[in-house]
Amino acid sequence: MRKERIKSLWSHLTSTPVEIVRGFSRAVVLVTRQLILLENPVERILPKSALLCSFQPKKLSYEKADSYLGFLLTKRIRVDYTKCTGCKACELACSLNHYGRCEPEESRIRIDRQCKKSAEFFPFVCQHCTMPECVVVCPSGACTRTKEGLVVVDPELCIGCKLCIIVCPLSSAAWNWRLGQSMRCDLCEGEPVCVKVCSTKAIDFH
Amino acid sequence: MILSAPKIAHIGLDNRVYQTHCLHPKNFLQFLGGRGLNSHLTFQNRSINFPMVFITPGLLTGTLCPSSSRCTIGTNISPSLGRWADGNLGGFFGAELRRAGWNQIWLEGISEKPILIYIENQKIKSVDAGNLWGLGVHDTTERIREEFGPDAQSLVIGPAGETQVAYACVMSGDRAAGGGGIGAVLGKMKVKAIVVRGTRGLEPAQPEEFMDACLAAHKQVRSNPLFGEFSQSGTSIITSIYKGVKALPVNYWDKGDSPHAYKFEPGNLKTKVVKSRACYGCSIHCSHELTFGFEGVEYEALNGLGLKIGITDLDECLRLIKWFNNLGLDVVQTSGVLGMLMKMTEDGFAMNMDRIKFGDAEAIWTRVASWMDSRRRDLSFWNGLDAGFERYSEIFPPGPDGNKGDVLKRFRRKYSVDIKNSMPPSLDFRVPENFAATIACMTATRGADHLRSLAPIEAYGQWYGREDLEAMAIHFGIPSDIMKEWLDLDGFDPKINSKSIRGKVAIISYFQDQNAVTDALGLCRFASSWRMGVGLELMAEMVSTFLGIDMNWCGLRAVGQRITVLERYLNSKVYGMNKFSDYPPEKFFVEPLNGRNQLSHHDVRSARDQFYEYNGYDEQGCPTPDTFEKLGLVVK
Repeated sequence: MRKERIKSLWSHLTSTPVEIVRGFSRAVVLVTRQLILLENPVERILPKSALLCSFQPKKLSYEKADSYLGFLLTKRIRVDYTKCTGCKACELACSLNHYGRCEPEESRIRIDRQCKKSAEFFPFVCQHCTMPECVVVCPSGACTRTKEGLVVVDPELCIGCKLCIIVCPLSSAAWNWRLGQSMRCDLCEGEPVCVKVCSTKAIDFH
Repeated sequence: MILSAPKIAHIGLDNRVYQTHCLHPKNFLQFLGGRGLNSHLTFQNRSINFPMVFITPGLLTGTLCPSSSRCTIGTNISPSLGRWADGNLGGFFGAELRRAGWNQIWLEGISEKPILIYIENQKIKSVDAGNLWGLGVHDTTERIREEFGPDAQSLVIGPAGETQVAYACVMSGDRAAGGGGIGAVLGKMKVKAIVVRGTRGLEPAQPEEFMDACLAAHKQVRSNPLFGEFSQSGTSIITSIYKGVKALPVNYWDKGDSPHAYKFEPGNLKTKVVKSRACYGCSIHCSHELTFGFEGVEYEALNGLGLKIGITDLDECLRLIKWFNNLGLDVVQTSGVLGMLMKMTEDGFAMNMDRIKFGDAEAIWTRVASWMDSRRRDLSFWNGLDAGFERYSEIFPPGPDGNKGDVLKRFRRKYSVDIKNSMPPSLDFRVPENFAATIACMTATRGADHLRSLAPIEAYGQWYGREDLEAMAIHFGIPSDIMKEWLDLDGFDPKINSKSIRGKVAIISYFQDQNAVTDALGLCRFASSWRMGVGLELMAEMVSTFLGIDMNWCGLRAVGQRITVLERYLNSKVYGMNKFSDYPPEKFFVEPLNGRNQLSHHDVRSARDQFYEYNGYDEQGCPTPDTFEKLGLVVK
């Protein structure tokens, strides 16, 4: 079933030119959502809020196969978007920690402003899925899942095809424009800096 | 040590070309950024008499440093103050400008037709803005977002700026840089908006150390006992504090309290709040999205367009604030002038077209709307206080010696509460608890400005004993030897006597420097001087690791002193101010508050003279050559 799904995604991708604009988080959300809807209307049609709450694993069907018992199952970055104030401190901390620069576009967690009027901000961060689709579609083998359960990208192998970003159902795979590479949250060796700077506990590590 | 050269985009609007300047590292280290660079350039170009606008984010704006989102916008000719001016705003614009790789945008000249300046990283181009001219701030921001993408940040002026009302401000979303009518200067230049998109990022010299310093600062902010309350209520909590001491500016400082004051307290305001919002990188998130479809209402707006002009309904007040935001009008100055007109109407002195009653919301809507028309406006106070009173002098009969000036001066002293042409914030100078605030406002270089040197720690200090205060120094980020000096001088004593005045002067002088540094670094008052305790020591650590230099807090304080000294020098030598300009309005000496409190000339004079002496100014308030030399400044 899943293989078929990915196959259809591939065919869809190769037949339709997908353009990703710069400052892409919003565009990716739209593109991903469209693809999800096209591909499997019944399983994946969720109201907007449900999709964005989907960091609670129960809501997505592929999480059912969650049989892995690493620390990640008990501890992950959990998001409560109702508390997010959109200050981007987490993005700054992440990019500073990983690349030594303060640049939200180079962050592995990112805040998406869905509606400018209603003050809703949604932090997106890799949830290290048990059956990560980014790993399946990665053509160069850069994106892998470690024994500990972390989804990682090897920057030396990444060819910059952006497929992982397109398929990620949570829109959480991040893209670094400067380096032309895909990137994933690595949980900062168990002490995520983004959680340290979040003053409202909109993102929490537990 | 390699300093990345700070870059200035110098845009000439006459012929639409721009050139890039790089600042000399020596000057850069003396002033750092933000208000520092603005003052430096205003000082360097003090002989130029065509309008210039400097848009300068702080040195740390856009970094992980807590609440570092501020951007200072300055001009050399302000229509309301008649001299240099600056305003300061938060939000996302300053950070975006820094991320685009610029330390400053310097505009000069006048464009032929309305334009919009679009900056994408190092590219700068001007776009025709004929279709945006005439639109309100909210609509303009919306259109810009549609055209340039959701991530582009904009700085816009509203109809008030376009028609050059003297109190027009520059807006970024619902955040305003008010004060000197800089919106009117941009309106004169025909710059409707400045749009920035930046993706280059900021690179600290020592990323790991900088990260540690910033995390320590974040921790400091959040461990403060006041953090929870201030992030929930924002500055509206000041209403409760002033209600407690009966010092609200009800009906243009007529009474200290009102039975309707409870409506403007945080408890009532919270019922209108949808959600908390934050500026760039801020952990305090004092701004709130309101059910009225705008964000960020704070004490000055709530009281300025509320009790100060007799409005007693919170909904009406919020509607007015939203409208003022859309027009791009500065709330503090405009409400001050409206209050003054209302007081004059009450006494029967206002001219026909200025007649307006306290609390008459309908009249405010029609009057302010009609003042957007420049022909009608010329007759009133909307081209500045000076021009307004000049106009009024025509209706006065001359004095016994045939001299109109005296009558006019007395009339102005009776009604206007301005200091150096600028209306004061909504605080009352007459209660003894506010004596330090009085020193702060009257000695501020920009006019009656509480944000230059006001020290809320002084007000808190009155509630605590010496031991508590010494222990609390860390929460307020004050170096311990400084705190000891203040305690020895009785600076926190609410009683006003010769010794406590000395202490209060010491506190205000320290905060004058610290606030200047805060502006230069692009930090918010809330995180630094006001409550949350990111003091000079923490700032020095962040600056040293960001630039890769050695700087201690004394060096940073010298930066603040340099900024103030230059501004004072400009005021004294170029604009002819003296010790009489640093004086509270007469109203607060002759009209007692609540029947008992009033200012005494003796205390105020003594505080002012001690302030000059403490900071190394001469008896007219101009910095002495010694002070210049000590700070490494040269007057050319």
